[in-house]
Amino acid sequence: MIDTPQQQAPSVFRREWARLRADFWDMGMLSWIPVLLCGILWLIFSAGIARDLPIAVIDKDNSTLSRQLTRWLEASPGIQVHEQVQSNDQALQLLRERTVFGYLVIPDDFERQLLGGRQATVQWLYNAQFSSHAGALSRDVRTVTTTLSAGIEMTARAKQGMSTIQAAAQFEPVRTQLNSLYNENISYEAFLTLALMPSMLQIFIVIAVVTAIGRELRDGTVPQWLASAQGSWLRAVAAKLVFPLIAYTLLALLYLLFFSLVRDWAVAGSLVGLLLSMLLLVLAYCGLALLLIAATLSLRLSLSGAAFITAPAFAFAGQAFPLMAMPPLARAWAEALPLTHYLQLQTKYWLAGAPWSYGLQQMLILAAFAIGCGALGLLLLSRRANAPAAWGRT
Amino acid sequence: MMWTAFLATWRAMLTDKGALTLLFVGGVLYSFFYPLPYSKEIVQRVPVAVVDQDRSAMSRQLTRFAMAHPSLQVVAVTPELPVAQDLLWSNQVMGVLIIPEGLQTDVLAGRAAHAQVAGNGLYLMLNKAALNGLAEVVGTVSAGIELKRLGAATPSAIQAGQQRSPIDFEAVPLFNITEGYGAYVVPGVATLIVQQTLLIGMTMLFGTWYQRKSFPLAGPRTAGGYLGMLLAFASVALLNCCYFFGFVFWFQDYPRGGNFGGLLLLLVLFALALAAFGMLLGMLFRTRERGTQLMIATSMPILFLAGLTWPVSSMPVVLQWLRWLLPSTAGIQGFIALNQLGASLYEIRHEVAGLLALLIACVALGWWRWRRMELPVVDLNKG
Repeated sequence: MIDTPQQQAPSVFRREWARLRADFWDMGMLSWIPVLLCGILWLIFSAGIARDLPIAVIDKDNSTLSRQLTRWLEASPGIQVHEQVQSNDQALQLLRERTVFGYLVIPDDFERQLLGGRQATVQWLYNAQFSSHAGALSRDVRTVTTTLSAGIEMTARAKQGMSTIQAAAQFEPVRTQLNSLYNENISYEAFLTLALMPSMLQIFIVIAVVTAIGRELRDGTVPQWLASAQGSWLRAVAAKLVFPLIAYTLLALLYLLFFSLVRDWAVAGSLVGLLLSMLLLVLAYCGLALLLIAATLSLRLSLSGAAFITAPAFAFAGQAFPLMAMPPLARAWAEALPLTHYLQLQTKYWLAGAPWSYGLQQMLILAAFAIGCGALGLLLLSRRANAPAAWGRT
Repeated sequence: MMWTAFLATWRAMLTDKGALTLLFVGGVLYSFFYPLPYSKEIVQRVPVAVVDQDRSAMSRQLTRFAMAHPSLQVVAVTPELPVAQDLLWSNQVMGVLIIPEGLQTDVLAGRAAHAQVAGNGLYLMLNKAALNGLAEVVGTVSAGIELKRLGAATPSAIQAGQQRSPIDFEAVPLFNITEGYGAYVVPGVATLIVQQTLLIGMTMLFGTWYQRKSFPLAGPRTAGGYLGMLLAFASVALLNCCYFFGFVFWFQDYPRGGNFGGLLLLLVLFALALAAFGMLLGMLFRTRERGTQLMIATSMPILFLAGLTWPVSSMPVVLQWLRWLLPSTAGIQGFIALNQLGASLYEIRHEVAGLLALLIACVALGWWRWRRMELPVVDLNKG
């Protein structure tokens, strides 16, 4: 009795699974390595809000009022008065050492001027090279100073014979209530860590897919691969995509569960929309990776391509630095990255609380990436990959 | 022996197309690509909406001031809150000024009135720009009213102004004085790019040598051979650093310091530590592509561990210590201190000590592994 091809060759899916199981590192790239690296990223920013950032104070006045200002600075949760120094040179040295990230200069006539009903100027000099440290500190130092200033003004008005309530209404006729929507405390966990997770995911997806297909090309095992799929390119490619697809969809679910249940960033908008977006992100990058390896036919080149496209993608994705401030060329590159569109979806659905209809456009774009790149990649691969000239490129 | 090894390693780097691209082309490519989104440096004209529920002379004044503010662009004025919500969700505005009904009546009656200013807290830079701009608009209108009132009770406008705000707060940015985003983040990333391209290139070379049972150095594993190879890889790091700190920083017009002697010392130390680290790492790899595959995704955590974008003091203590095991940690901090802050050698003593300790540890471990490396089957030099 003659064996049919189905019985002879193991199914293409079983073949791929066996290969993955035999390869510790490839399997790791689908499982514990992304979990480990994402875990480290979460740990780095797990405090959410930076507290007790060190500053220095030059108190030239050394009066009751100047000491009160220093005490209030120390009491502010974001600030730690690391040291009182005597001169600008000392303070600058602390800045360059990065022991402190800014210093406040209180002038020697501080109390005299204020008690005399005149204005006194305090100077806040900060290390703008460490922008996120300085940004948080500047906000807090300004708040403390303004509070003291308002207190002095109220006292002065009270002396002029106004009642406290009257004085309060007089001294700032229109008050401003500031709100940071969806992220009241400006937590880096909400603003940054949540966006970093899919940014890591897209790197892993592209690497896993180009590795799975690229090694067949490198080793010249395309005929065996294709034979195990009974000559169907669709089935052959599907077997390469299915394991990354499952692994990274699960990873996306894992970070969704972790941050929404354990870290209490509940999904405020459309959960269905968010889940669908995650699936579309994984599919879009599977398509992109397929196109990358089909275009280069070289594992090394497509890994270099993956490094170029995915590693700096977060910088272009508009989460840290806004899209609207980018020059046209960078903007165009940003729009060509599925990550850019996905992050807008995630931001809307997860924390901003938008209903599903607000992400329709971006979801269609992601679907177009998946289908367009995927179809083109499949076509190129089926035309070019089953020829000895395409094999063994390093 | 050492110079033979040095030259043989250089020959191996130049004859491998993959390594050549990573070591010498990758950095140049990234040096133009990475700063691209930040070339305008700051955010201008953030789109905002005004929700005017008061429809009074005062609310119209607030709207006019918002329209005139240089960092804001008013894209919609509406009495309806849901309209603003819709604009926020569709990313068409990043901030909203809400003027509640009765604002003018309250102000004229001498009661405290409130205007609400909201920004999208999920986009930090836009949120900050929108909040600052809108708060300035409300503050300006409010101050105008207050000065008029004070003016009635005090002899001069100057005196009125001084009474209104007794403590004047003057904020002075140092070092990155224009507070550009690219000038803040690219110098740190430059060091990261030098490290990652070199490490990926080295793991590719070592993996290939193992896979093909070939090694650029003939004979037994000598100390001279190790040293020569170390110097060859270190010279690549040195060249790439010089390209970034010399050409790229000048081309992008980022702040630069003047401590040339200190820079030279840290450059040599960083290049040696990085090369020793890379050799130790490289000797673990068995195939050509594995290093690239494993290391692309490490760049982001490595950058954040350097403590440039997030304070080290806010990281868990374990990470505060472990991060010193990466050459980039001391490298990024040290080079920024020298190049951008103009630090002295004393002011980067922690970084110098960290790199020195890492160099010693990596050379000791690397030398131990080096002597246990399998002997080559084919000698490239004779091939």
